[in-house]
Amino acid sequence: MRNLLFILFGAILCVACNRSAIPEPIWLNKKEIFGLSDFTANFLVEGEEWEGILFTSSQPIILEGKQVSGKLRLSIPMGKNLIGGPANLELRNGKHAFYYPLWLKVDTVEVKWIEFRSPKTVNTDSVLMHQQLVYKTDGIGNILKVDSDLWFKERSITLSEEVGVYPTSDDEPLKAFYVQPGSPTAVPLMLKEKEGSINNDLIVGPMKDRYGNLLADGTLVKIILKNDTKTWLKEIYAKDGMANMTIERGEFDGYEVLAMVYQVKSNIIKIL
Amino acid sequence: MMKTLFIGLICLVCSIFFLMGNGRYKESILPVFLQQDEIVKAHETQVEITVHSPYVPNSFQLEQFKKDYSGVWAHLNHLYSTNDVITGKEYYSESWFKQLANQHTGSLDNGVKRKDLFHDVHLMNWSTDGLVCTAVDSSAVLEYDFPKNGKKFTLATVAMVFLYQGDHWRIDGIRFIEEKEIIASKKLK
Repeated sequence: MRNLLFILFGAILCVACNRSAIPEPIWLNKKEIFGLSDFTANFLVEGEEWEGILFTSSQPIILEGKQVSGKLRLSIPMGKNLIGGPANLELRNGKHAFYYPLWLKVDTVEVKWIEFRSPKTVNTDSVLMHQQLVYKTDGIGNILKVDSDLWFKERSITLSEEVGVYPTSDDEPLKAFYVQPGSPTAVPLMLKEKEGSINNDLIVGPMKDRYGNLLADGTLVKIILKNDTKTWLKEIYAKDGMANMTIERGEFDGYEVLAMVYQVKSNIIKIL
Repeated sequence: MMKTLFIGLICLVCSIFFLMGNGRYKESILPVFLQQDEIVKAHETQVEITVHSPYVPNSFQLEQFKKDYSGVWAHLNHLYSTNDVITGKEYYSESWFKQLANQHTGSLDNGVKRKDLFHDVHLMNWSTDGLVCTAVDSSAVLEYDFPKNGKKFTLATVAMVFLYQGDHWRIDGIRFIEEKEIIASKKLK
């Protein structure tokens, strides 16, 4: 009698379980590889409230689902782009879940070249060599091959000695690099009477580096004025390769004057 | 009378200081570089690095890269199962974060879980200023945990680009070149 009761209870439990179990959906357009741009999955399902989630290699995408008379059509929401590679499609209905592995093939047409230069700033005093790193993406984050068998490309580039800001791409000013002028080859110095004044102008320049680029604006020019007992140091700044200062009449009479930029010195002039 | 006024004034000053201190305490948020990243802290994986780049990084740079590579995967895995794009933003470059945010369709709480168990990273390029590097992970062993359906282990080859921004290496691009199943639960076959 007791055994019979157990069997009866077991049978009821079995029927109850079978009722709550949901049969596995049938994937109508089953494929192992889908293109990123044409992912749609059609299923034959039983029951309502199915939800599809596509676990792409970067993040899960909750799919748009349309269910009409037992047929479920899942697609990527409008305007969403995917990261390719291995993916797992999950079909959920309440507590039940079914999983289908697939591969998302990167088939996007859009190509974005990304170029990095290193170092960012080059001075003509140093070696004019640049390291160039290049790779390609589809603008979303999928890396594309640079050529038939390379994912990344690196090469050394000899830069032009002409000073300037060189952009690597038009829309990304932050990726520009700079060639700055180096130290001057000579520091010309002369004393000239100031027009319409009794004072003199001390003119330094034009100062150019070994490639003929004008000295960078804002470079410090030291003016050293010296006599037997005193030494004066004045600091002025270069603009367009030139620097000048006014020497008032009588202030530095008998002094010797010298200009210095970095370690390059001018000739010595005596103020009379 | 004067005594009462004096005590009242002291009480008033004390309460002002107390309220000021209290208010300041409530508003205090640690700056990013002082915050502890719990996801990275709890993450465990094994990373082997081989350098092929013409410019070879020094040991300090390699150690930092190794740490951050593990951190990037910790957040990629967290993102994989939750679709929480905010938590890992310190490990994403601007363009990577932007694309994640653009593709965001909603958060999940019981999604497929992914773990990275091993990486064999080949550094292909390293910029001389130490701000860009490219790598190919030739043997990334990944574990996928499907709720109530069991587990699957795979071996993947992944190309990745990293940019050094702020305090970290950040992922800027990825490409899964291939992925092979090593072993899987019966239910998933």
